[in-house]
Amino acid sequence: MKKYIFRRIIHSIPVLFGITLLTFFVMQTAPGKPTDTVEFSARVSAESKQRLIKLYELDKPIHVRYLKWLFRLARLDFGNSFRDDRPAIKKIAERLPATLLLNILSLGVIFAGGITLGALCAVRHKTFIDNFVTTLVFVGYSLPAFWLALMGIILFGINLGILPISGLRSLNYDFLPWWGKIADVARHLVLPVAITSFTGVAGLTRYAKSGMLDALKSDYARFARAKGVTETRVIFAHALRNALLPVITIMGLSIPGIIGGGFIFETIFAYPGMGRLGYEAIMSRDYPVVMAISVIVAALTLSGNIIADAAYAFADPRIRYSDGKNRRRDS
Amino acid sequence: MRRAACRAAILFFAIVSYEACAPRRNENTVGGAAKDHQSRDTFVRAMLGDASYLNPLLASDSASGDVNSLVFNGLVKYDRDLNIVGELAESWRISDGGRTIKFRLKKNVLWHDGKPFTSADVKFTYEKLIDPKTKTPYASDYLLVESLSTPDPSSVVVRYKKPFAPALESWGMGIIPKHVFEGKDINTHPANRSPIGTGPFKFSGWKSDERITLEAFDDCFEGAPGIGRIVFRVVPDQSVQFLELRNDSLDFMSLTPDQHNAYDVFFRRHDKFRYAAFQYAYLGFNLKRRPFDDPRVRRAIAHAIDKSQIIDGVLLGIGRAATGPFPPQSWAHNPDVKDFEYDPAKARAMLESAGWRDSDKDGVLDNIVVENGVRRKQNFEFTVMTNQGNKIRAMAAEIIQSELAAVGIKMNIRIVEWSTFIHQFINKKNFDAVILAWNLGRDPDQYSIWHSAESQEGKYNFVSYNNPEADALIERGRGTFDAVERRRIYRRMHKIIHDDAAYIFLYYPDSLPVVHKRFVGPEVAPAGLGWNFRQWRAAPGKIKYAS
Repeated sequence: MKKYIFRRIIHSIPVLFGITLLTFFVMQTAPGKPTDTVEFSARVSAESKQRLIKLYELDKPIHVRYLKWLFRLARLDFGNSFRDDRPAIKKIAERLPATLLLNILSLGVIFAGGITLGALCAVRHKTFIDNFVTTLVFVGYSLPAFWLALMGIILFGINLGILPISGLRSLNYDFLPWWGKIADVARHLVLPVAITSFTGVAGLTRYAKSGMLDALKSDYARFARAKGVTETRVIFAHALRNALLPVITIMGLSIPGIIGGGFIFETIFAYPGMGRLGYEAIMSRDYPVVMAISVIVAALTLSGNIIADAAYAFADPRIRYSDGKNRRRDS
Repeated sequence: MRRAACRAAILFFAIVSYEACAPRRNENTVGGAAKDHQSRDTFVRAMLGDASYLNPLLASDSASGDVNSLVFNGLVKYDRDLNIVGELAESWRISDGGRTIKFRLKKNVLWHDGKPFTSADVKFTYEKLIDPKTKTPYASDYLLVESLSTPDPSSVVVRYKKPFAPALESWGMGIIPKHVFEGKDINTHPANRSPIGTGPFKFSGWKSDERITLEAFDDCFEGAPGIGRIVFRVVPDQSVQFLELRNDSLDFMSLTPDQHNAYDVFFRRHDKFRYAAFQYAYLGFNLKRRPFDDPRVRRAIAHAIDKSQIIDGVLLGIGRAATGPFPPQSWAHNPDVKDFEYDPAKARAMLESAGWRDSDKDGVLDNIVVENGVRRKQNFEFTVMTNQGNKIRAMAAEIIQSELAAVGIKMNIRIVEWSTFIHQFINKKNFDAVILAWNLGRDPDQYSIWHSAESQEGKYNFVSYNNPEADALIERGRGTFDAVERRRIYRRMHKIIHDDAAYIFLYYPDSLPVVHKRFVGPEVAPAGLGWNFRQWRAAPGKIKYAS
């Protein structure tokens, strides 16, 4: 097992390298330059822009720039943003807490809500509750989330006036006691978490429902019932645990997503997260920030995959990984 | 299991919000200091994007500009009627035929950290502006300076290589403190995120992508401002800004025309203002391409476009038909210029005299062109380009498209992402026509837009306008200090550029800000709205955020 993980880590280094190479060249070959977004006005002369291009080293050939970037990366230096000359890594670190907070909360809501609703539908299959939830899920899956967000803001923020409209903190945040701060952030998070998890809940409910239906119809469930086990125990102790296996796979896949952010949601809710940072960096051709984000996301995705694979072995005894030597002997 | 997940969520919540709280202590002390001025209110305004540098030399985005204008001062500024008056300068004298400006500085000016402001700071700012290592986009005006000397702490003498009339305006650039930046790299200096200036407001806090807070600077040389605290909130979506406004959680924002025309009930607590912005939108032709090299064709197109359709349909009536490169509130604007009237029949006749007629009856005009000795028939078809993300320009293009179709011209529309648009099409002059807008300075010098020397690749005269008379006027305008003479020069230029129709000037848009009713002081003047911002204050008894 240890050998397997070690081998996976060694293998992922050239993959990571390839990802950086690809991202770098795609980003650089996209038309446009960072200096294009410098104010387009008569105050800024073309000569001044040429000067900026020199200072950003954009006049050097592309392979030279890539190698320079790579050498800096070897020292864990991601370079400075073209927009405000601050270290790219610092800009990411500033936005990471808010992004993690939102994504982990909504992931929690998605799994809690999806599994509960899915199990409920399976247990009460073809009853009113099932039909009602299935319809709701279908509607939720089809609604454009940005529209839902605006409607939520208008209903809860303006008409009812019980939730703040946008942002992460109130103006008086700095003057609140610690519990007031938590309550303040919580109030700001209700709408973003609810809306971002809405479509996720809808999708997961369907997985959980089909998994649970299979489990309830399975031989072991029938055997348990025959043994005289109460239906509650059949559902929670026997069926649900087995029904959750495919759900765990989905959870594994969604873990790298928690450091990403949705640009549209963050824009609507004026949320200071990674999505806006990444989008704005791409639009303004802020290469150091784009590269830093893609390296970090790639590294996390790769390690997320390794962790998920390793976790399977623990979760499901049927899965075993060979350490390479065995495989040769078997074949 | 659910309970465990719940607990994990709460734990995370607690950790992250604790982290978020970490820098609070620092700000609390500032909040404590503000308690001495309980009679002053907080002003909350929205901005669409976060600022970049709080340093007037480096920043070129409007968000940073808005903050910097309150934290920093220039030597001069524009007053309510757009006259140049002293700000850090007490007075100045122009001599030597306009080649020398001698500034006398005010003596009681303090930086926000308590150090006195002197001429050494002006010299330092100048040196940083022309230093090739400084990432400033504004160097060109200062590269014309021959020498800058500081005979004593309160005087600055600037000598130019030749007379340069916009020079005085260029000293409106914010002056930065020498004692803070000296000996360190200006591009990465921490003060670019916690600035020290001389202005009426001092920096208090910046949470990236959330808000920037400024506090009143009571030792300001112009006196203490009437507002105690300003919060710039980043709300990146304009319709969400509007919802915040309806919720009474913003005191200031800029409206779009449709928001401005919304129900009055949305503006119960806010006053709407409207004034002409220093800006114009235009349809510009590539004068190096056929058939736009022919002024008769350009004028015919001008007669075929009904500007009032664009203004009523797209701007909802909020804007004015444009006649030339100077907006109506500028002294350079020539009110006697008569615009090309909307007359499709006349346009058709003019096109016919230029050789364009619909000989094959397909509804599109055509002409015989000779290319490499081969005669062939060509339809009048061209593509207009504009940038993505500006709905008003895209809709204006559609109106122009249908109006030109009525006279037999087929116009295609292509919308391209901004950076690609500038780099691939504008800079390389690879376009037939474009719809764009210019943000203008208060000084009418538009050398970089209209002078024929500025038409190489990557420069602003990308339409390749070349009129020797206009060139001569632009050069004389730059070298003349006499106000009456300058007005004559620029009014003449307004007329020439209008008649040449290198651009079809579409409209001068209006700025549409709203301000919360509890503030007294907002007043629209030729300079716009914020010219007396230092004097704005909450009406007695109406203070909302006394902290």
